[in-house]
Amino acid sequence: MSGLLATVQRELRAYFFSPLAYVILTFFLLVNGYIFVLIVSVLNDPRAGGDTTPLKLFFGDTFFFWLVLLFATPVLTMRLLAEERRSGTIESLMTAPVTEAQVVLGKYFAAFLFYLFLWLPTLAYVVIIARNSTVDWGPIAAGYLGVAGIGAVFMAAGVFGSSFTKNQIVAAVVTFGILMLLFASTFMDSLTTSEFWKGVFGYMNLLQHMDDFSKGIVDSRRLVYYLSTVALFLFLTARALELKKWR
Amino acid sequence: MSAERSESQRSLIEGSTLSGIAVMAIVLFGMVNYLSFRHYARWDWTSSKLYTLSEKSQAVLAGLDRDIEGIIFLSPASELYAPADELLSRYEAASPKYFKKRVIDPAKNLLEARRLVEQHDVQRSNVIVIAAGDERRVIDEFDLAEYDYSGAQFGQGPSLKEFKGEQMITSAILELVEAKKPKILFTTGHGEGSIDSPGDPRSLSQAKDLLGRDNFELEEWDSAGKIEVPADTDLVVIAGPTTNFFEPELEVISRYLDHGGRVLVLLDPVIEGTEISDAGLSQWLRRFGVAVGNDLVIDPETQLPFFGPETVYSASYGVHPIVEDLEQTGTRVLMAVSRSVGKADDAPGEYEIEELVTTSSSAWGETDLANLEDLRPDEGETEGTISLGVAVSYKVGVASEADGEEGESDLSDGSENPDEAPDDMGPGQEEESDESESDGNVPEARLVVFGDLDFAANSQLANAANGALLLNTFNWLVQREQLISIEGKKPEATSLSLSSSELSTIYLLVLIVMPGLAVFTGVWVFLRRRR
Repeated sequence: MSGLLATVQRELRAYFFSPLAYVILTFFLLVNGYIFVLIVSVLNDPRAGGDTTPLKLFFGDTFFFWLVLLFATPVLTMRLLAEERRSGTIESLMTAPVTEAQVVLGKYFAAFLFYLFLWLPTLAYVVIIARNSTVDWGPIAAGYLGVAGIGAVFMAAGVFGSSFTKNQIVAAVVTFGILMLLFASTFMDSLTTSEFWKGVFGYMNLLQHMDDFSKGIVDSRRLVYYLSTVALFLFLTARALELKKWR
Repeated sequence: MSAERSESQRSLIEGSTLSGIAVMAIVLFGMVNYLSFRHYARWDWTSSKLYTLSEKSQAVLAGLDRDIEGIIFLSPASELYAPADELLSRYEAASPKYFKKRVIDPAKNLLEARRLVEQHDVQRSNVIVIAAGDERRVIDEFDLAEYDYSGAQFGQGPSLKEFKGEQMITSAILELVEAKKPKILFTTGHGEGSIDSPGDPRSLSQAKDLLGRDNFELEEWDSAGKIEVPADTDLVVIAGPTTNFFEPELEVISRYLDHGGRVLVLLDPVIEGTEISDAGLSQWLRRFGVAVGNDLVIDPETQLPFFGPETVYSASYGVHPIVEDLEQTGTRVLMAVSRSVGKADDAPGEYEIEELVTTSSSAWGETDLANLEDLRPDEGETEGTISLGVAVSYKVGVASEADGEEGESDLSDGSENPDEAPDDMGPGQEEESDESESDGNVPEARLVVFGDLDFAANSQLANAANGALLLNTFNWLVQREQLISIEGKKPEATSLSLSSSELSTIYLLVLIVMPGLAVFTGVWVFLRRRR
C-alpha cells in the first residue's frame, strides 16, 4: 500500500508541477465556461420557460464535451509510462519494492485524480445557478457520476496506450485511437441492423450513457461497464509491463 | 548459444502465458458485461421521479404473466423517438422477464420493418406497437403527445407540450392482459349526464375517454322497465339524475347490489325553486346506511379566488383506499355545488361505511335557498366538518337476509316478474353464491355515493385531482385496487432572472477569471521550475 501511495503522490506532484497540465486546465475551463454561458443565456430567457435539467447541456450534450475528453486524455496520460521507458527509469521502478500492479494503479489513480481536479472548478457553475434559482440535485450528481465514470475509462485507456512505446507522441496517438474505437460504438448501433450487434453497441454507446446520467438516470450496466473496462485496461497494462520486464 | 536459445524459449513461454492470461481477461470482461446486460437496475435520481414509471404502470407490469413486446416504429429524427425509447427502456427494466423493447427504423431496416408491418397489420409508420402473441395494440404518434399550436398564427410549427406515452402504453398493456374489460353501465332516462356529449358541461364524455384508457367499457342503459341489470355488468353508475327513479328500477338495482354488484351514485343537488330534490334516491340510499342531505355545502375556509364558497377545494379525506394516495400526497379535489353525503346515524352494522372527502370544520349545509345572498349557518342546519362522499361495502347475503321480508313486499308493489327476481344476479355471482357457504369466500357488494356530479363531468374533471379521484373510485368499485394511484407531479423547471450586470459578472467570472487563474498558476509553476 505504501508503494501505491508513494507512486500516486509522485505522479500527482508531477502533474501539478507540469505547465502542460495548466494549458489543458485553461482550455478545459474556456470550453466549459462557454457552454455554461450558453446555459445561462437560455435559462435567463423568459420565453424559454425554464428547464428541468438545466445542466444537461453541460454533461455530454455538446460536441465540446467529447472534444475535450478525446484530446485532453491522451495528452494527460501520454507520459505516464512512455516517459519512464524513454528515460530508463522504468528499470529502477520495476526493481524497486513495488509490484507492477502498484505502479500501474498508482499512475492511474494520479491521472484520474487530476482529471477530477479539472472538473472541480465547474462546481462553481452549479453554485451560481443554485444561488439564483432552484435546482434538482439528483441529475447534477448523476451527471458528475457519468463524467467520473467515462473519465475513469478514458484514463485507463490512456495508461494502457502509454505502456506500448517510449515515445510520448506515439503513446498519445495510440490512446486517441483506442478512445475513438470506444467512441465509435456511439454511431455503430445505428448503422447495424443485427439485433445482436445493436445490443452490443447500444450497451457501449457513451453518448447514450451521458444522456441518461445528465437526466438523472443511473443505470447499473453503465457502472459495471466502466469498472470492468478500467479493470481490463489496467490488468493488460500490468501484464504488458511484466512482459517487458522479462525481455 | 544454448543460453540464448533457452532465453528466447523462456521469453516465448512467458509471452504465451501472458497472452493467454490476457485472452482470459478479455473473455471474463465479456462474461461480466453480458451478465450485467441481462440483469441490471436503473435508479431515478430526479426529485420528482420523472423517469420512474407510475405505481399503476408498475402494478400492471408486476401482474404480467405473458410476453409483451413494445416495438418502436419511429424514425430517430422524430422528436418522440428519444422519449419513447427511454420510456420503453423503463418498462423493460421494470419487467425484464416479460417485457421486451425493439426499435425498428422504418427507413433503415426495410426488410424487418416490412415483416413486422405484415405481422402486426400496421398501416402506417411512426407508431408504437404493443404486442402479446397474436394480439396487438397500435399507438399512433399523435396519441403519444399533446402539442401546442399557439405559435401557428406566427408561422411556427406545433411544439411538444406533454409526452403521454406512459398512459397510452400502460392502457394498451392492460387491454392485452385483461381477459375482460370491466363493463360499466350509465343509467339514462332521468336527466343524467350523458357520456357522449362533448360540448355539455354536465356530460361525462371526458370521463369516458379517461376511463377508456384504463380499459373500461362504458355503455348507456335505460333502466326503466328492466327486470334485471344485464349479466356481466361490473358497475352501474347513476350520474346526476334530475328526475325520480321508479321504485321497480331501484329494486332492480338493489337486487343487483345484494348479489355482489357495484354501484356509483353521483347525486348533484337538484335545485327546484327554493327546494333541493334528490331524484327519489335519498330514502333508497338510507337502506345502505347513507344519509343524503337536501342541502348545499358551503365551506368558506376552502374557498378559491374567483369562486364562491359553494365550491369546496378540499384536501381532507377519510381512511379508504380510494383516497389514500390523495391523502398522502396532500392533493386537493374540487367539488362545486355539492350536497352532504355521510354515514346515517342508524346505519346497519353489517355495512362498512367510510367517508371519502370532507370539508373543513367551518362548513355547513345550507338549506335556505330563498336567502342565498345572506350566506351564514342558520339554526337547524348541519355545521362543522361535512362529508361529501362515502364508500359502502357489505357481504352478499347479509342484506338479503336482513331485508328478506322488506324485499318481498317491494316486489309485490312493482316488480313485473317476481318469479324471476331471484335469478337477477350480480356480476359472476351464480357460482360464487353457491360456493360462498362452502369456501367462506363471501362476495362483497360495493357502493360509492358522492354529493356532486361536476367533479366527474366535463366542467370540472380536468381540475385539481378530480380525475384521479374518479379513476380511483372506479378501480376500487371493480376491485382493481392495484391500479389505484395518482398521476405523477410535473417537475419544477429551473429558470433565471438575472439583470444584465449580474450576467456580465457571471460571464467575466467563467470566461476570464477562472481560466485566467489557471494561466497564472501555470506561469508561476513554469517560472518556479526554471529557478
